[in-house]
Amino acid sequence: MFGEHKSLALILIPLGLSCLGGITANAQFRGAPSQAEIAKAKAAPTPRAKDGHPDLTGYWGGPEARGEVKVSTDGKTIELQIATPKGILKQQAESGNTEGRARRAATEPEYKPELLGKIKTLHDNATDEDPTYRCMPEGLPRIGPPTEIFQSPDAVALIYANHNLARIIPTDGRAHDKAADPSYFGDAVGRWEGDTLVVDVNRFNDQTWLSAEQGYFHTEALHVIERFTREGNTLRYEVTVEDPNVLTKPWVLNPRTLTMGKAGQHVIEDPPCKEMDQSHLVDKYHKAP
Amino acid sequence: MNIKLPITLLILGFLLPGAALFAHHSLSAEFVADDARLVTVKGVLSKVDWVNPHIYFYVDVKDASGKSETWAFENFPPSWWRRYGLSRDLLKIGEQITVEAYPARDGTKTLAWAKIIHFADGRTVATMMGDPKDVR
Repeated sequence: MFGEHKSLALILIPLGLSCLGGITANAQFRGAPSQAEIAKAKAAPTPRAKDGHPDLTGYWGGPEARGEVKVSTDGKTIELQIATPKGILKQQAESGNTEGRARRAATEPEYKPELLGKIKTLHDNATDEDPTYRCMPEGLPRIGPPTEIFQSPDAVALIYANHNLARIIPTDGRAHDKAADPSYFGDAVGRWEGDTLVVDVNRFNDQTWLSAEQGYFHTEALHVIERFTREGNTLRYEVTVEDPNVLTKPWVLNPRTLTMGKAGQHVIEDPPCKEMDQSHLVDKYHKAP
Repeated sequence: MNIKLPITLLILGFLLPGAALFAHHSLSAEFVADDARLVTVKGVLSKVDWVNPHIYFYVDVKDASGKSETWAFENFPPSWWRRYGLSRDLLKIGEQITVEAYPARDGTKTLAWAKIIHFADGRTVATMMGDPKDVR
């Protein structure tokens, strides 16, 4: 899978440390903020709205630059040199595209034993079975936290960098819409518990997976509770997932702490999803090699 | 006189944070991801499809007889390129490029995964490092 870039990164970074050739260029990359950066961001004052609640408004996609990748080349051989502090280097090696995997691995949903076979089958056949492979929405909680938030006194808009998605969460005290059609991101209502915005979501359809590539399917009984807590220029994002039809107990995801991006930064348009690969796939479901 | 041109080498795709966009399908389900099978294709960039889940760019290639055919090259999604500060403008229509690529597994001759892109001015973008078959 493309996911094997984890191994790729881990193999190549030691190579880069023994880099011999001349350094020719560098590129910046993005990763999780360090603990020191989080502490500094947390120490900033927490802005509040007129109603006294923390103001979650902001771009929560920062920080972006995580150091340098310096690259040298010797004919056909490409080697790397990571010119960042060691802590960052390790963090990057462990993240790469695997950041999400590592996070998921920290806590995994517990399925009813009789469903484990189905999950394995779905996982093994993700090329065909994963809905996002055909450009369908990720749904919750797979999509992760929003990239940008706008808050008004009676609603909060959660904006996602992926797929130009916006979720509008009413915070005016209304109840769930019991007549809402089941949907990919469900029917959401928000309320404040102290300084934490709690978003309760139900009325999902069963067309999404709970996470990437694991085959973690769910039913329309899915119930997701998201918690957003702003401290200074950090935003803690916590998620609990319930689906008594398939899970033996609620799944509490590993919390994430996001940091505020650059001033004036906003989500930009994401190009559309246009599937052009399926007709060229070669596996047991597709053309014989 | 031997003039050594500066080479800019930008690396994508091996250290990036997880993104749902990334998870699409197995590279090896569509391409022969083996450095021993890399094909090198030189031609003129004729079109760019800057879309998810993978970008495509197209290169018009002339054979020895002057006959032209269009190759389609697939690569990581726009968000990956953006995270490295690389925009679509890097791929200029009409520019001559050389692509080292993994061929399509289904035998489609003119479809491949762009592993390394060499631009006429000496810049190189390596979108992947190492040989995927070695890390399975």
